[in-house]
Amino acid sequence: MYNRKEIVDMFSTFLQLEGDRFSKWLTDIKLRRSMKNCLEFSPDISKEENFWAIYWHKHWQSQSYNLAEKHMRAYLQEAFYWGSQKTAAKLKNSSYSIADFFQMANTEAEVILKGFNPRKSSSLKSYALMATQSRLRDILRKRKDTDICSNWSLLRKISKKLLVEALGNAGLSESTIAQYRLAWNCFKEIYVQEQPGGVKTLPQPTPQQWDAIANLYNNSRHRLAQPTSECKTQTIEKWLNQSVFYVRAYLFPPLKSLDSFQQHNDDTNQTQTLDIPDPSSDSLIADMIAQEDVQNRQSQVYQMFGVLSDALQNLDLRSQKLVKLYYQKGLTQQEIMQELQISQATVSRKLVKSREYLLGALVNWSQDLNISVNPNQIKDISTALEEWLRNQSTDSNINP
Amino acid sequence: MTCTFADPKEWLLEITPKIQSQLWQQSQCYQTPSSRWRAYINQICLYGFLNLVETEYSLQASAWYSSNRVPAFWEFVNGTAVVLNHRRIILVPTEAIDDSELEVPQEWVDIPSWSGDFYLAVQVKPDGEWIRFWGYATHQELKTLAEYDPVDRTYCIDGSNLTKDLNAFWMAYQFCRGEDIKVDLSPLPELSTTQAENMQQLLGNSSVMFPRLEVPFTQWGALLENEEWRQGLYQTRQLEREIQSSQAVKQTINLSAWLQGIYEASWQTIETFLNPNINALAFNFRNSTSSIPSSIKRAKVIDFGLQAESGKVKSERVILLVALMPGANQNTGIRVQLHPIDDEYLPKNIKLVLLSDSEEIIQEVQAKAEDNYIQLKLFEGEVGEIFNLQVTLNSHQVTESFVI
Repeated sequence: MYNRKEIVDMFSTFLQLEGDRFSKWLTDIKLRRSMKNCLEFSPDISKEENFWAIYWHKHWQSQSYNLAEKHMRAYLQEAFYWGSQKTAAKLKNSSYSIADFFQMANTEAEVILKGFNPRKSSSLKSYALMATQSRLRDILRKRKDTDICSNWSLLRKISKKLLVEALGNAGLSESTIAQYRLAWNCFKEIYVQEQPGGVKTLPQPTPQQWDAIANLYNNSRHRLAQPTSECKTQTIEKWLNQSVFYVRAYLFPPLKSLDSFQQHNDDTNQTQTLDIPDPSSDSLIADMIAQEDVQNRQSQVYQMFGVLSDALQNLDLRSQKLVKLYYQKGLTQQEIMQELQISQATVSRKLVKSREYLLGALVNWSQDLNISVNPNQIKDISTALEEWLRNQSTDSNINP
Repeated sequence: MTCTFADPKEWLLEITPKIQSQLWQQSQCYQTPSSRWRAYINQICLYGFLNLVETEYSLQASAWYSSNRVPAFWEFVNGTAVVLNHRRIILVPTEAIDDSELEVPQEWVDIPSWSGDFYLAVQVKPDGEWIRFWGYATHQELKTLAEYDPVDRTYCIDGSNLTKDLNAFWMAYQFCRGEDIKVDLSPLPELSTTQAENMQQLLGNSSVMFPRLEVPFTQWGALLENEEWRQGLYQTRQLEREIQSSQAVKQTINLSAWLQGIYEASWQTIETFLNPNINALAFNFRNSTSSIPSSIKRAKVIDFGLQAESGKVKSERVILLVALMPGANQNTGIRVQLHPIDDEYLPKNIKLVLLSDSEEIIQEVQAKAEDNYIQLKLFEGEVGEIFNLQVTLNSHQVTESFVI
């Protein structure tokens, strides 16, 4: 795998894998034309990739230009690939390949773009590399927990949001979803463990429990926005069985081929004229001014990285080693536990405290600069810290 | 421990089996399986949080109960408030594995004296073995970013709007002392005593499964905010359930099934009750039970609910233990003991009675002051024979039926 060098390529080509291996960069003609156009119209404007990354991100945010999202997706290909590769390296026993991870990462593009704040990160690329790994971990954790749940414990162990999304994904109407949701609430009220332990193998609800659930549903249905008729026990049972099915289908969507994924928006695009933004318009000039602003902030981000390097040196040697093994070498906590012969509880505790120490150093530094620290600022500072920690390793340094 | 996805941005705490079983026992005073479970996972979170701030930060946090009584609110609503110096922190346990959102009951957001500064999302992992603090929101964020769900009366804040970073929470707690992170709430309209009594009567009916959703929120909130009324509602519901359950047809415990290793869920192993923190109690219990030459020993908590004793109200619970000794000649020997659970001694005057199938008294034994335990004389029975065990405290009695 080689990283793209040309600005036009960065925003108009997609990574093609063969099995787990890099095959080639595929060009999207429309994106290429759009990008070339932009560069030709504005020869004086910076040729920095960061400039264009933020430019397209702004368009994506304001939804002012419909190719912006595809430009962004193209641009994030390296971050997705290296994030996938790092995740695969970390989870050697997982049944997923780099290609699987790469595909999952592509489907997470929107979430990752949404989380990016140009003022708080050194670059979109390095943010995306961190965020890709974090999203992949979340997905895997969720799937692993789902795998070990029996149907009935799974229903007890999902959020309302997930249930509603899964039912919506299955094509159910809003009023039907409301009914299923109420049935699910009643199920959770009645179907409770009588003692701790053994949740993973919760048995089928008993006929009495099903009756009680149906009864509770019928007594509570007046709370639904739309009036509905009484339900038989069998109906409730059927709804909840279907819910389990829909939830599993939603959590494990079949892997689409990447080609179909990339051509997703083509039909709609054809009916529209190719509305290439006019680079001489005011918005772009405003963007350029913003760019200076961004550069100032970015230099602040680099200063923060300097503070962090110093703070890391101040940690005790054992903690430094843990941080290095976990973030730089990408070992899991279990592997560290084996390597250092300490319990995972200790590994986990020490890592939390070390990270907290580093964050504290940054917060103190900000306060010294008279930057106010409200909870939101602290959150942003912590994101910068995470980016710094996660992108420490040398093999996939994608920062220019 | 195998938490592959453990992340230093989260707090992951292990809860030992001993603590689990202790907290499980403490949750048994609630009335429905679902409120017992709710109390259990809340106690686990509370224990974990208090323990963490004490060991890691040498800080004393305290649970917010307005008295030493059983926290009645777990009967109705999920969540626990903790006071940590100048801040109120609401722990919101969830069993959801997906981190998609946090659902905070409206009570913790809109009742002025209940609301908090920070709201922590806590995942209780299967069995309560692990708890995972995975995100937080401020009161302000809940009021501005969360979606209010009028059906369940919860504030639902999307996972992407939560700060999934407990290091950031701790820094915010430490560095943003003066920061205003709470939205001003207008006080709930006051209830008249008559209104409150009417509501207690309406919601005291224990067949009302979701009392918090039955009356308009402002009224419900006002009722709950008043400690006397809250506690009163809790007791009304408890009393009613007791009457109901005493009228219900008793399940007969099949002891022959025990011989084959099949037990009812409410009859648990002795080890479940060996409370590690009350050493004297555990010692007595272990000693007096281990002397029974039987491998088939099971015990059950007999809960008398809240009892008035010399002017003080406390919950009274005991352990009823039944041990089987299969004999050579079709007869089974049976040993029955009664043990204290919350104190070193049994409640004075508590009585254990053996009744025949036709409810005739066969033998009985009563506790004197400072009895560690009492037991019936060893008795025998044939397969198919029915007997009853009755435990009486003051005017309350609980009967269990058995068939050999």
